[in-house]
Amino acid sequence: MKSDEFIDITTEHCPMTFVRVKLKLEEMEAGQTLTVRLSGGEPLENVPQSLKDENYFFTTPEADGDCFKMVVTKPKS
Amino acid sequence: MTTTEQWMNRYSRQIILPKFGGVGQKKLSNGSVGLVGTGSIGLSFFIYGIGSGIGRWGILESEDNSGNRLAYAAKIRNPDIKVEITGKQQLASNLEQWVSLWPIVVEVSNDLAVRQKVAAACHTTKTALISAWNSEQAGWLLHSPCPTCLPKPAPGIAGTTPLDKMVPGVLGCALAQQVINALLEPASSPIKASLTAFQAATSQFSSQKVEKKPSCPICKG
Repeated sequence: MKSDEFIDITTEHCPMTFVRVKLKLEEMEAGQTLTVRLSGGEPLENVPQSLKDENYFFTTPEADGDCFKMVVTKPKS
Repeated sequence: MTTTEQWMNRYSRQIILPKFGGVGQKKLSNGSVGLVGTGSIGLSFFIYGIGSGIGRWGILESEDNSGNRLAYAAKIRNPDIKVEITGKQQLASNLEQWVSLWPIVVEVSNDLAVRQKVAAACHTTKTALISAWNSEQAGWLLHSPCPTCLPKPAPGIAGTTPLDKMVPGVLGCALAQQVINALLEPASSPIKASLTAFQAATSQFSSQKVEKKPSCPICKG
């Protein structure tokens, strides 16, 4: 699945992992998709949970080499 | 305003909150507030306010010229903040012009005459006003441009007792939260006429609606 935007947060630590994702999503249009590349451990636990808390749609993170990848869709409303 | 790495790092804990985000944080950074009174409540409010990132402050200087002390504190704690000090002669000359520079004015002068002058100017210019004052064991927050509409005797309004430091701290924190709410969502967080009391002995807040009085010389009901 090809997404509209991409962000790599594998070098970030909490809370900057979600801050970068959130600011990127705020810049995007409703309905657009963002591929997020993230590390395992804390980011893999917290970023999906924070996206869920803010009602974003996202795919289950999948292994991507030694990291993970997920696609987030910005809701229309 | 443009966001920088320093800006993102400084406010990261707020940006992750659902109500804030980058959009909300920019509203605070572009937001402004006028402050009358730089005592214990004013200092507490100011410290929380600059910490949250409210970007521009107007301070009407008080008798002890402590406004400059606050401006210095802002420069040390958060260099993004702009503080404009206005001389106390503005109280006598053109107060209306000064209050109209700010979307919200916070008055914590602990001086009834000053409170009434600021209330009259805010009423004329339709500027949102929150006043706060305290006695030893209690504090009050008034959301209304009209202290003369308060029930008589106005609770604690002429209090000159030595100040307990905890009550001003609580009031300053509550003021900062209310100003942040109003700057984030001005339409859904209008400042309604009410009086909120905080009792230190029970650590409880209680609120009552303030009925406007037709005989009031400021708002005329």
